[in-house]
Amino acid sequence: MQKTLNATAVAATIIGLALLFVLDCYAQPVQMRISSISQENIGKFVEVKAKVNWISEKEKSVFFELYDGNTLFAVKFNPTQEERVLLRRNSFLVVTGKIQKYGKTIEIVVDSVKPWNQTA
Amino acid sequence: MESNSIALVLAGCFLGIFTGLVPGIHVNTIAALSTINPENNFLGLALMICAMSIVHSFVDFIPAIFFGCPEESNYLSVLPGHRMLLKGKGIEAITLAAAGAFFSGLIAILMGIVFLSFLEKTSDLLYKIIPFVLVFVLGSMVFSEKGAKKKFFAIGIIFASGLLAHLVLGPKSSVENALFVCITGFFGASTIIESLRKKSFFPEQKQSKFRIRKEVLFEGSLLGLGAGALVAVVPAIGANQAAFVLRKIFGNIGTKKFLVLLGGSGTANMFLGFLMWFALGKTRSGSAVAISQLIEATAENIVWISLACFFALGFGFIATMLLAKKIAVHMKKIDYKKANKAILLLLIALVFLLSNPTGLIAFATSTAIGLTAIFNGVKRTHCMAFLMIPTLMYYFGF
Repeated sequence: MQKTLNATAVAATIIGLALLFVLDCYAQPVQMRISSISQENIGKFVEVKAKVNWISEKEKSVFFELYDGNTLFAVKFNPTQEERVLLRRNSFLVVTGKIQKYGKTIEIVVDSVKPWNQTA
Repeated sequence: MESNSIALVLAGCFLGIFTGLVPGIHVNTIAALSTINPENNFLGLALMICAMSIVHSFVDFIPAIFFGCPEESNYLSVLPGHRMLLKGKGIEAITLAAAGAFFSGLIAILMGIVFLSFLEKTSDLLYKIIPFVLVFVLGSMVFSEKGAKKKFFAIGIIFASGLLAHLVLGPKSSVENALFVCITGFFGASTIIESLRKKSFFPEQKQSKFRIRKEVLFEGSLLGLGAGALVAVVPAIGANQAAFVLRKIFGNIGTKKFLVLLGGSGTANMFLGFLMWFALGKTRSGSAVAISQLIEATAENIVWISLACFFALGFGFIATMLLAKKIAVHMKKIDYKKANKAILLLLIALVFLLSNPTGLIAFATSTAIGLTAIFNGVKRTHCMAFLMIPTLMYYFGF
């Protein structure tokens, strides 16, 4: 009985992790303009196309502000070298990440950064 | 300070009783909900959250010991607490934890300035050594398991918990309230399922007087303060792991002193966490996060917070002692099995209400991980890798 229960718990762990992994692989961000991001979007995975207004680089993170007519504070933890190159003032980017609240500020915790080809 | 702040502090104390007694209703949930529409008295609301958090840290030992419904912060208390419960000394076990909470909390408030000055001088050093402390704690926990099979399962649980964290805490995750969902699964639902599986019973609890030796109280409270400080400073470490580390350093300290330590660590950590926010802007608890959304980290505000916590210490101790005695008397009339079933259904309902369908999958997975630990006789504290692994990955640049 104990062995069966143990095997069931282990199997449930593996199946649960597998399901969550599949959901993670197929997760698609919701495209949004900064003006429509609010408290209601906290926890959502979104995509924002905007210009970098200002930037502040630290050892393990980059803080920057996105602008598309409205502003949104953003943070990228442990950026790669390629991402550091993309994250420059006045660069146009496609940023995906999760909306969260830090203190009293709504911000986006960035997952990925890509160049935004505005003519496309 | 607004005139209704005192009423809000009192309300916070009573809310702390509610969140402490009802398994699954975490103080972080109420704290987060109370910031949604704060109206005008931001300081009053912040003080309400402080008072609620402190009282909660006292009262939550009652369901942990009487019902076997621990939270992450007091899980280790369940085993020694249950041993005493089975001997009819459940009230003594709760008294030890409550006394530790009171004295450790009091010392933390009185020595707040010392802690602040320590943080000021060592913040850079702390930042550098935190990842190594976390690795040490993880490694110690694995090696403390006896036998190769248990070590293997400990590593497996750490890996599974870390992977779960990556999947539900990452930017792409759609799980709402992921932390609440998974902690409830690891430490709440798994314990209740195991309790339902076994023939649990509630023995008669002695209402007679007992004495707590001064050295048990004094040394346990100091250890509790140390554990609380460790939890406040090092991210992702819970009171259990801090207590584990101290027990490794100081050796076998006995059941009673350990319960005092555990009681003290939760309360001291809660207050010292508010000081961490004030000194370094780092929030280590849901309560600190909620407070940071309401008020600024000023000296005046931290004084009000200290006063509210001081009041809540006394309230929490008295409330815990009164409730423990009342509940102990009435527990015999309750069908223990039915009560556990009702609590399990409540936890599932809460996950359903506060999260989403993906959250239910995360809940089931974390419950399964917790049960795997239980069935293999491995410490469930390894599940705290759920927070430790993402923290380590951040510090090591991943």
